Amino acid sequence: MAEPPLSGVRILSMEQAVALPVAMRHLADMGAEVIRVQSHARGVPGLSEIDLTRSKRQLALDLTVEGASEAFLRVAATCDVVAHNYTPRVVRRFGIDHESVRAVKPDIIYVSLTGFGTTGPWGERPLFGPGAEAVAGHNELIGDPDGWPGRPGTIVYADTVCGLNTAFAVIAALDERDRTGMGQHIDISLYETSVAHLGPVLAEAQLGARPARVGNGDAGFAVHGVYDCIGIDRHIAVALRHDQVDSFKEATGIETLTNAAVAAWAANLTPENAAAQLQSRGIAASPVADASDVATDSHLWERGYFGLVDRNRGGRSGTYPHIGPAWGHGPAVPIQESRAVGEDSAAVLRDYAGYSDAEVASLFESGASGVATPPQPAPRSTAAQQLRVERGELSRVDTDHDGWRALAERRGLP
Amino acid sequence: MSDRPRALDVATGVGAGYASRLLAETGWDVVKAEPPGGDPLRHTPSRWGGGEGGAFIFANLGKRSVTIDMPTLHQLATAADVVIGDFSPAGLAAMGLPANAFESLSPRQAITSVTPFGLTGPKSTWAATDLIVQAASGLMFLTGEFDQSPMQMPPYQGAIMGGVAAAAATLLGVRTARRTGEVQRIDCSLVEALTIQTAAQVSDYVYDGAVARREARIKAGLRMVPASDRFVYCAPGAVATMRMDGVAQLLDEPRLAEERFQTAEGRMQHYDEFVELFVPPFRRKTAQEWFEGAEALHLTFALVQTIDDLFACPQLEARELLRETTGPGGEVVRIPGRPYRSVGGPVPASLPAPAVPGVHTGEVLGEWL
Repeated sequence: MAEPPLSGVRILSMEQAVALPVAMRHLADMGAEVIRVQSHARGVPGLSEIDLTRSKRQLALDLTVEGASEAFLRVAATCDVVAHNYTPRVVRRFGIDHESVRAVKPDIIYVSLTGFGTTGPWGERPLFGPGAEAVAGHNELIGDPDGWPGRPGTIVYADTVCGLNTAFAVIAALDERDRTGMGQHIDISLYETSVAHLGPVLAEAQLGARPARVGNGDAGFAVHGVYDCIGIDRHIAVALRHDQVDSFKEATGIETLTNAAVAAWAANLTPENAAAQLQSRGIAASPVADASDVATDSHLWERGYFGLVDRNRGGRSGTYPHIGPAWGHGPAVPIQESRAVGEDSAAVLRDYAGYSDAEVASLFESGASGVATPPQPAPRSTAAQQLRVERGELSRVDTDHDGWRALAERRGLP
Repeated sequence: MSDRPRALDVATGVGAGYASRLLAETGWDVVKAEPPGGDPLRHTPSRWGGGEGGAFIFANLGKRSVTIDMPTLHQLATAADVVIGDFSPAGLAAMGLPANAFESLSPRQAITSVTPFGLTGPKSTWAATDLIVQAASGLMFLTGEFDQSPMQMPPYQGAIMGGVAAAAATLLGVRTARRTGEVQRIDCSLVEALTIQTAAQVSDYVYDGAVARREARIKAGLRMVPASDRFVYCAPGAVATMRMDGVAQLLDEPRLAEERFQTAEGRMQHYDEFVELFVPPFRRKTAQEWFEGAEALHLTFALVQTIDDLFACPQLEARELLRETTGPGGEVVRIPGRPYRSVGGPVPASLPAPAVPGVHTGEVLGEWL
C-alpha cells in the first residue's frame, strides 16, 4: 500500500460526543496517528462506538487528578495538532488551553471545537448537535408549509457537518504550517458551520427569495417530489425540468401532468424500476435509499466507498463494512477495531511523554491515567427489534442482511 | 507576484465551486475559467423562485474570473497547482469543456472532480439535482415525519458537504503529489459526502439488519414546540434520559413528572395524553422566555431561528461570521465567510464573486503565464 497522505502527522484529541471524533476519524482514515484522550474515570460510550473511535490510539487521563495535565502537555509537545471539544472554561481550568500548549510546542495547530465558538455573547453556552440545527436555521426549512418545523434525518447532522469542516481546517493548517512554519488556533463551532451550510439560502434571501417550508417542492421544476412505490416505506424522488415534460409523459403514459397522476404512476412500480425508466431518458430520479440500499449499493461498492474491519460485536465476530471518509474511495489505511479506553496509556506516556516505567506506574496508581474496558454492546434480541419496528423507530428488520458480502467479494475484498 | 499556491476552477454548481472557494479562504490564489456566457450557476434561481445568483456568489467568493480559449486553458492548468471542476457529462457541457478534460488538463499536483455520483460506477451518468443527491444519500429517507413520506432538507446540503470534502481531498492530493511527484486525479461524489451522515444507520443494518426510519414523533416532532411567538426547540436531555421533572417544573405542570411519562416508551404509549399536557403550556410565553427559563434549570433548549434571525444574531455579529459582499446586481449582501476562525492562520478571502465572466482575464494571464 502506498504511503497514506497524513502519515507522520500526530494528533492529540481530547474528544467527547460526536463532532470532534468524526473529524479525527477522517484524519485517522488518511493515516494520521490520532491519540484519543478521554477519562477512564467517567462513563464510557457504547453507541456506534466504532465509527467514533476506530483506528485511534487511546490515552486515558483524568485531568482532575494532579499530574494528568502535565502528562497531557508532555504528549502535546510531541504532536502536530492538539484538539478538544470542551468549553473554553474547562480547558483553561486544566491548563491545556491554546497558550499553555503553545508554550511547549510553538508551531502547534490547536483546535477548539465548541457549540457557538470560544468568543462572543454565546461563547460559554453549551450546545448539542440537534439544537445546533434548530438555532442555525435548518429546521425552519424542513417540512410541509402547514406543519411544524422538521429535523435533518439524523441526530448527528450538525456534528457531522462540523466534523468534516474541522477535518478540512486541520488539513489546510498542516499545509500552511509546512509552507510558513507557523501554527494556528482553529476556533470552530457547531453553530457556525451549520449556518455556513445554509450559505446559498442566506444569499438568496437577500436577492428576493422567500425561504420557507415547502415540503418537497421546488419552484423551478415541472415535477419535484417524493412518491410512494410498491413495498413498505419505499419511495422515489423525481426532479423533472420543464423542457423534459414531453419525454416524461411518453415514459409514464401520463396524459395530463398532475401530482396525483405522478403518484398513481409511481404506486405501481418499484423505486428501482421507476428510477430506471426515467434515468434512461435523462430525467433526474432516484430511489429514496434506506440503510439497506446504501449498504448494498453496487455503485458505492464498485467505487470503493466502504472499508472493512474484523471485529467482535456483542459476541459475534466477523468482517463488516464501514463508511470511509467523506471524499470517498475508502480509508487510505485499513480500519482498526476500536481500542479500549486507555489501552495505549502506558505506551504513549512512556514513548512520547518520556515517563519512566516507574513514573507511569505512579500515574496509574494516582488515577491520573489508567485503563477502562468499555461495555460490549449486547446483540439485540428479535423481540427487542420487533418492538423498535412497532414503535416506529425502524422501517423493518431484515433477517438476511448480508447482501453486501457478494459486492465486497466482487471487489476482491475478504 | 506572490508565492501563494494556485487553483484553477472550471467548476459549475455549488459543490465544485465551494471546494475551490475554501482554498481561497485558506490563502490560495483561485482563478475561475468560465465560458463567455458564464457559469450557469450565475442564473440559477432559489428553490422558492427568485434569489437568482445567490448560490453563485456564495460558492465563488474570493475568485478571479477569466474567459479564454482552450489552448490558454491548458496553459493556465499547467501553471496551476490544482484544477477543480465538475467533470460529469452535465458539468462538462455546462462549462463548454471537452469530454476528456479530466484526463487531459495537467496541473502540477492534483485535479479534482466534484460530481453528484462520481466519475465511475453504474450511476456515474445518472441525471441528478439536489433532490436526487439527498434521496440517494440515505439521509432523506430518515428526514420528515414518521407517518409521512421522506422529506427534503434545505437546498444544497449534499453539494456543500461535497465541496468541503473535495477541498480536503484536494489538499491531501497535493501532499501526496509533493511526496511522489505524481499528479493526483481525485474523484469526489456529493452523494458519498452526504452519505457519511448515515454511518450509524449503515452500521446498524450490516450488523443487525435494522433499517432505521424517520423518527417517531415522540422523539422528533415534539422537540420543536410552538411558543406564543414562534417555535422553541425543547431538548431536556438525551431522548432516553429526558428530564421530565425539569420539564414539569418549567411548564408548571406537575403531571408531566408522573411515572408513565418518564421513559420514551411510556410517553409513546400515552401519546395523546402527553401531547395534551406538554404542548399547550408553551403558548403562554415567548420562545426567548422559555429558552432563558430552561437555561436556568440546566435544560438544553434552543431557539428555532429563521433565516431572518441569523442576520440579526448577536453571536454571528460578534464572531463576524457573515461577510459583506456584492450581489449579481451590485447589491450589498452578507453571506457566511470562512466557516471557522483562525488565529495565526491565513487571512480569509476578500474578493467578491466575480461580477462578470472574464473580468480578470488580462491581469491573470499576465501573472500566471
